Amino acid sequence: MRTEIRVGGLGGQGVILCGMIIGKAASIFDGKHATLIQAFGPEARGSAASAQVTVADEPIGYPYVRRPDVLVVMSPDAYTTFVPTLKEGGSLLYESDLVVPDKRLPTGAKVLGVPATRLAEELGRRLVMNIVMVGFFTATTKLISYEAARKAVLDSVPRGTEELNLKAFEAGFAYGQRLVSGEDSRVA
Amino acid sequence: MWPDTTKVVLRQGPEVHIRPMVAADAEALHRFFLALPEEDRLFLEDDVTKPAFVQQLLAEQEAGRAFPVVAEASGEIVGYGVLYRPLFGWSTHVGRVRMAVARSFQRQGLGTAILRELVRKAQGLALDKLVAEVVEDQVGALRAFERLGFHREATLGNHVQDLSGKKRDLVLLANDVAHIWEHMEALVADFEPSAG
Amino acid sequence: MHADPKGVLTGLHFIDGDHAACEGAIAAGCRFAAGYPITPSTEVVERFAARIPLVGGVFIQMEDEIASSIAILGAAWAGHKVMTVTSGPGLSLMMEHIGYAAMTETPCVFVDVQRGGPSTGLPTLPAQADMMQVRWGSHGDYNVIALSPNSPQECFDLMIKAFNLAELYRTPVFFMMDEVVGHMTERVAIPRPEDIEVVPRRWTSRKPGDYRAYEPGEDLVPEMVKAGDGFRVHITGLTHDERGYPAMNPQAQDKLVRRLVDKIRKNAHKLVDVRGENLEDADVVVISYGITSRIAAAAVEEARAAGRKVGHLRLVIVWPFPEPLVAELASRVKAFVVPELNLGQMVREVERVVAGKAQVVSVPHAGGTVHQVEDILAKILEVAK
Repeated sequence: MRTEIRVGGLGGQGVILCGMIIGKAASIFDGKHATLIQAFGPEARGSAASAQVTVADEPIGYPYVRRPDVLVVMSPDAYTTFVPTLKEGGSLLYESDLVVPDKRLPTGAKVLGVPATRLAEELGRRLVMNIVMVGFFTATTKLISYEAARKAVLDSVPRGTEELNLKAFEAGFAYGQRLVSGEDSRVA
Repeated sequence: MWPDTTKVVLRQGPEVHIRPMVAADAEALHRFFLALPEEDRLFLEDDVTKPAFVQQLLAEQEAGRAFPVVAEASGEIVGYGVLYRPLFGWSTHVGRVRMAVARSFQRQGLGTAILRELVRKAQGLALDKLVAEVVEDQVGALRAFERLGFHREATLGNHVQDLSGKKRDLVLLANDVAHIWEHMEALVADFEPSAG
Repeated sequence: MHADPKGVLTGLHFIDGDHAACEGAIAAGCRFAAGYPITPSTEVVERFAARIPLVGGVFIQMEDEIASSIAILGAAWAGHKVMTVTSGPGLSLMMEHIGYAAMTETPCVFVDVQRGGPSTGLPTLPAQADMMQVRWGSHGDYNVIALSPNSPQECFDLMIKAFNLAELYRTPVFFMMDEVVGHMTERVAIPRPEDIEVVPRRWTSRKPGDYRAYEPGEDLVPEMVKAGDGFRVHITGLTHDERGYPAMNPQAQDKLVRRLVDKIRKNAHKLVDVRGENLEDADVVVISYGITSRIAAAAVEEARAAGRKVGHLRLVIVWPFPEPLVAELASRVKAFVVPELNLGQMVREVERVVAGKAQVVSVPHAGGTVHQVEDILAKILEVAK
């Protein structure tokens, strides 16, 4: 079992941290194999950044993501750039206040949105938005366990920021859970 | 508060636990205030000996404007601290901290430990800045604050009066707790600093 | 000998190859590094600079790579395990002192996180373009050991091996990473210090007066001393006799330089580290190293799924090249396929050793990214008909 994940957005949104936490959760805390490869924007913040994470039960050979099973996009540019690569029947996780999925999506794609920036701002810091995405990813794809994701968040954020980041993780996770269980039809 | 209870081992004496205040603590906290020597009490802003003070504290906690903690040793309250944070107005990003420690537990690092919990709570609330007011000759308190990153921001001259009428300066200390977010900002920056 | 616990971060880490290489060096006992920042290797020394003072070592950022490469040699003679870290352009600058290290038989590790070249090239993109340079780059005859990791875990494990080999053979050892392995993040398990075997420096047991700096042991490797131990020692890059004093005549030259080359060549059978898969019944063998080996493995798997008898030989120690092994394979396989992130470097060694007994097909790449699996697969299927 090999799952390819691409996380894309703008520099400053924490794209690579998001990919890093997913990979760490899978490989350190869930006992799977994971490889992360990152691409930075060439200039300062504002240019495209992306992370490729491959998660597998066996050791990973080819380390790149060509056709992701899960595409996580936090900016319209990332959506435009990567949506052609999403596998048919794959999942699109998107920042619902910034990205508008359209008919460029492959057939059978599962579409799941979360207003991550807004949730982060409600907690007091918009820069934990990517941690909200990690929580949302955990609840909706179930590729990493809740426990592993939580531990990976704690292990990856600077000292002093743990409490807020955990709140952000829980907010994204709760939102995702409601979404996939159909509890809150308003957010579909 | 996360974690909910912190165990503190002081330089000497029994184990102390610091935890968020609950309604059931009202009486014990009131007793703690009554037991504070008069000079120490005067350095606090409110008349903490009035039962209404503790009730007010709980009400503010309920409203989300105050986060009081108590330090407990052998079933007795031996210290208290509170983080105040306005929910409205032009300083919603600024928290205020106050605390007191029983005489027998002073000079053992308990004040510092209580303060550390309040700073953590402030960071968890995404506050940018913390302030505290300390009378200029409260050397122990000043040291505790400075150790935790507080600096002197302003001095209000002859601002407080003690029992004998002697006036002293009030020092306003401040801590830029938002600096931890600089590290987080660097983590989410996602750009290659240089390529050469 | 076990690793010094002070330097070992036992546990599971999710880190990239550059960081893992730094941890490997510290676990191996490296306590001095000098370097000059160059993409994509900078993170190795950044981490080293932050960590090493707490472990009891020193990092100095030198004014350039030339200074870095000689600074480590001085530190080595002060008794420390040392390394410098660079990329292609830096390695070019270090060539004179690489020769000096070989000539003076100074144990040291040079880490080269390869990037696209030549010249400034592609600083942030991978290549495997320094493979020949690392072997032949300095003037004169000498021999080197070079390793090629293909994962962050190997960056940790093989760095320890690199330092151990440097001590065993009193020679510069080259750690040939590339930008992908250096910046790829994976799980790295760092064992407990008691589970890490480090080779101590081969200090002499002789007394001052009896010691000869360049008197070789049976394995052609001399014993070592360090400054301050009370030995009178003369170390020079000039051709020298067994005491280390200049001896500028053809006889001394022949004796010394032959030994420097033979030191590795005659011990080459002890310096074989390869990972072979399905070699026994193979018609075609893919020979690869470094990051390319991961792509090649995927291609080999697809070829086998298509029914072809393809084996995979991954070189972990690239220099000395495993001649007897490849020669043996050449006597029974039809063809070798050699993919590399360069326009054909190690394939020349394969061609030389195979000596026409089998077909040798290069799968070159100018660099900048890794091969597509399909490109390697196509070449395999072409010769595995």
